[in-house]
Amino acid sequence: MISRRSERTMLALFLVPAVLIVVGFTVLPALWAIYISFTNRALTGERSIVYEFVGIANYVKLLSNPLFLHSISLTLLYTLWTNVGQFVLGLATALCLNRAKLLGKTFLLAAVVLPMVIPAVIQSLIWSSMLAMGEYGTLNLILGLIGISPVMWLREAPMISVTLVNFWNNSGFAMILFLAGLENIPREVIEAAHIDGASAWHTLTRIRLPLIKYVIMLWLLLNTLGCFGVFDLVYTLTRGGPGDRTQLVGIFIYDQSFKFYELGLGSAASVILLCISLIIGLIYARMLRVTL
Amino acid sequence: MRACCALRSSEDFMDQIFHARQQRTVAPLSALRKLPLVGVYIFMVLLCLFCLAPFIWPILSAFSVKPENVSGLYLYMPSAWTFQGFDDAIFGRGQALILLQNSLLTTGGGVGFAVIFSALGGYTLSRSVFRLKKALMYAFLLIQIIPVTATILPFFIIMRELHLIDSLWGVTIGLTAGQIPFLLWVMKGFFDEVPKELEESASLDGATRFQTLWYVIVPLALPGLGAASVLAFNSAWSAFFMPLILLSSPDKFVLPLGLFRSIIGYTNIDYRMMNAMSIIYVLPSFLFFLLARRYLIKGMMAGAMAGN
Repeated sequence: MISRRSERTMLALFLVPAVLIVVGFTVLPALWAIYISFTNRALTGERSIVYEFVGIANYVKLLSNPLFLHSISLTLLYTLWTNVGQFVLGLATALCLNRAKLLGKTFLLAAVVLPMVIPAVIQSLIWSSMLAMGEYGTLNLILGLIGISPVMWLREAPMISVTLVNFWNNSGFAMILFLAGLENIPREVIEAAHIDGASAWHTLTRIRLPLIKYVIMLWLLLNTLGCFGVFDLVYTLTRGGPGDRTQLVGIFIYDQSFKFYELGLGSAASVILLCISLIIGLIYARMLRVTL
Repeated sequence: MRACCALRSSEDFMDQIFHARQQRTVAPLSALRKLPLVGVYIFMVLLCLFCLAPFIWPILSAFSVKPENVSGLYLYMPSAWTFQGFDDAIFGRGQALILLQNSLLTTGGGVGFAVIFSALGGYTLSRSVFRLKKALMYAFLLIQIIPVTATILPFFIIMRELHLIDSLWGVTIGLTAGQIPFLLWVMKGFFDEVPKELEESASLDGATRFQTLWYVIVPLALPGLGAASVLAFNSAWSAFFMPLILLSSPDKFVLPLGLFRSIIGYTNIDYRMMNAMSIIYVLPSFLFFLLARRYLIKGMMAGAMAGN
């Protein structure tokens, strides 16, 4: 329908600013990170101006750096627990809510979405009170009711604390996605299974779960991406501490680059994170089978 | 959450999905139907408490007078109610007004630019056919879901080369770049819904392409455009990492950064003031939640169905 040449040019021009900005401030940085990761550039001082090509030295240094390996394993653990926990909680909630008549369902859905719109800094502030130590810390107060003695959450169990806050903030996503998946299963399918005498467990594992497999995969990929790139929540809650006990990859990159000024090392870590994210992202994009 | 919202192309589309689904909702048959309804309700109440109970402390703390011998971090029985916390935050050492101004400038500017550029770009993506279009759309999808953490470091270096460190412009540009991929997808979806015949008749009447876009298409896509802007605003409003590395002078801090610096900066934290400031900061997010709650839930649900 677009016939005139000038019109085509104009349409193309419409796209230019958006593409330029994204290329300039997102794509170019990513490519530049790859370049810097092969140099010994520093953030300040002499090596920030005069730096040289060091090949894969940064990657070798990184992969033999116990702190980095520690941060990788912490990130993997965080991802694992977050995914497993939110899957179980999300599925349990979705199964509970998947009924035609349930009082307060809308309210509950609203309640689980509310934490999702709260900015990370505020999440941390709110939870610094929940996780406050001593017997009057709110969580300790609640646990005291069932006879558990006070825990110094942020000091003794920092990873559990971070995971818990992520639970609070992010579980709603799994719940709503799974619920949407379950409600989309035609009721005839479930009825047929019941008539054939399938037990509740069998309907769940053989029919419901396979039917929402696709939704679960999408959620899993997005959640994993979020876990790998997590920074705001962990940094504002623990700043990687105490010591290095919550030094996830995001914090590691930040510390190496902006605390120790080792750009090369920081970039190498960024590039590794970028590669992992790209792989997960590509799988996600393929799975969506979006119509363009 | 955002990635999924990007998938649904318009509200109508979501409504269709939502209603189609509602009619088919599985009635009393559930895998957990043997579990008594009471159990389900107990579970729901507990879940609700888990989600909402953490909000009690900041609200109590911001509006009340703390008893002498209690730490501000604990839940306490307030002895009296007061707005002193907000007074301290706005006119006292909280300097909430400066922070609020910086936040509004950067977020408003960033989202404003992003909306304009994405509306233009989205229109092109919707109306013209060219090679690499598909690749471009995929690239934007990828860029959108890749975590900021992976690109923040070189972004910082580029901003330093451009002398945009410690400048509100730097943050604005960063936010613009961050919101464009998501908005482009959404905008393209909105424009896809606008019938092409409308444009053809406008062009027969002698309107230029830009006039058609401005006077015919944009008004039609306006509700969707507004919804997308609000979503982008909320996401940009909570941006923390980018301002953290770019800004260093306190008079340029945005709200989340100012809040964070006060939390770690003071040895004796005035939690009442902090919570008052938090409430000021969270207010837009909360309004967004009230306005868009159903839309968010539906958006996520529709996102779960897309491509199925």
